[in-house]
Amino acid sequence: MNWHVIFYDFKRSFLKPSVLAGILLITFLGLGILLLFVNILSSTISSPSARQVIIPAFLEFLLIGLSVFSFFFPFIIIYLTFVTFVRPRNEGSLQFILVKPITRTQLVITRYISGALIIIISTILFTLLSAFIVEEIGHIKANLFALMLAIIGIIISQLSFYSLTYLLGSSIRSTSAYLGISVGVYIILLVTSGVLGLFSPTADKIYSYINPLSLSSLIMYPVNPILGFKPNIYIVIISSIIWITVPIYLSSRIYERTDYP
Amino acid sequence: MSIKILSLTKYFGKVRAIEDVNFTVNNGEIVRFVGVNGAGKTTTIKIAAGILKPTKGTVLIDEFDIIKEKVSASERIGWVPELPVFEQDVKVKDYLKYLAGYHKQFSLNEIDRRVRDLMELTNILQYAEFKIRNLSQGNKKRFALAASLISDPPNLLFDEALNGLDPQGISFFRDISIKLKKEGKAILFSSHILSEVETIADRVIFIHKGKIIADKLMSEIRKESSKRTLKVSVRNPDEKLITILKEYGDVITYNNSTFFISSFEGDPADLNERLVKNNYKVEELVTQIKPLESYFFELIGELK
Repeated sequence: MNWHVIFYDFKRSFLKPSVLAGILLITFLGLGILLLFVNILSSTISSPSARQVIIPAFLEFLLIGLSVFSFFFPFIIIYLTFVTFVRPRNEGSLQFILVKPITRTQLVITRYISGALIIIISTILFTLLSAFIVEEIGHIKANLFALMLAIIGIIISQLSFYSLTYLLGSSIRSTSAYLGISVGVYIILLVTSGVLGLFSPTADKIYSYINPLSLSSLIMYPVNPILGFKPNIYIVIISSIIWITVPIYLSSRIYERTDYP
Repeated sequence: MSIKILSLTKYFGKVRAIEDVNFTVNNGEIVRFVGVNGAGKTTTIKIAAGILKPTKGTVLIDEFDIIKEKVSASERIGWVPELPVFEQDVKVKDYLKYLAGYHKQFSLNEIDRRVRDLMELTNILQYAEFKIRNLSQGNKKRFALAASLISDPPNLLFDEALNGLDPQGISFFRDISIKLKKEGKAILFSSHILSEVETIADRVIFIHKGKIIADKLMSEIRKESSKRTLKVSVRNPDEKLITILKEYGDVITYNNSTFFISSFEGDPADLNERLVKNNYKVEELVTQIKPLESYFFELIGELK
């Protein structure tokens, strides 16, 4: 793995005004809403309630900000894949990279990792800032286990979706079609879970394992049993690994074979 | 040490771009790769550069297979395209450093030094802090050349590199090609204009409709091209005049008083003296050298 190139790609993508502005906008929006709720509601839960035995108050507040972040950040992910892979490929600038001592698979993986670093760092920073607000302004003691599961869960969900956008990006030639289809796929993944639950709880349960956006809820189950069933930890781990690795593997295979580098 | 194109065939869907293309570019040799637009030059070069994959055949760069040993082969080749496309919002110096990062033999200090040397060599040092999008087309080509020379590769592919350059730019590319040739590098220089670098090429490979139609030394081409056509105009032509002219080559009658002698062999001054002695009133007697483009068009059967 060429870390010099990965770091450079990471720095260049992260410092793109459009990417940075998007991340900052979502961060301020999420933290702003969180701050609002903390100011209004923290005084009402100063003493432990029955509900907080199930969901720690710290996590309950943390999830307010995280839900805003988790809802909007996939749009940054779609754009990140666009600026690191889809647009350079469409413009032809990846051809100049392909002449260098690198295979097509290595090129895809390198760019994926540089974007993944942006996702990981953004998620960690946002979650830590949220935890800081809940603890310092809401005066609710931090629950480190909940914090850790929240970070891991959201990172895995986001990386899974990121991997999926790379698969779409390597399969679709048109930049506008990529953007449209990616947003469409995100909306479908977002709404199908709720719709399925109305008709069949069993189907909804199975779907939770195969929907990358549900992985964060499955991982956070020990501190946030909102799902209504106890997930099988092994299936969650396998599903997470498959969601991150298989789409990016398929993406690299498609890119290896294409006549449109 | 060389670029070996071996039985290369490439289809885009059902469309054949090139078929069974074979040739070698040796070290210390500049080879012109000539063909009309769409003949298959760029496809061949992009496969040799490792950008496209062939349907059949392969390319060996210093004996490393560009398909099976891509990383080793790519360490030994540089590519300058007709229209270099880079990520636009990056500074010249930074992007060269980034590209140098793909070559693992360089430490960070070496990258800085190498990038500076290359910007000096290609005369773009004054644009080091410019964003690539602000470079002129000529300077983008110089930048592409700097990028292609980062690892000092022994083999270079110039794909229509002179297109769109001003005379100064063309002269720069010619001079640097000669310099690189003297360093022992193998250079494949594609163009649809034969006359562009005829002065520096050692060999010319002609491609037409995806197939190699000729592989000639430049000296052979010059010899064949030097066969002159003589234009003769006389005021009082007759049958005897044509008999005399036929002794010097193939005679084509243009009009009643003007004749062309193709593949003229002999001394035009002798012919002039002989015609005057035979009382012909010679109005015009000029030698026409066949341009190299004509040589190519004759090869592909489209004499112009």
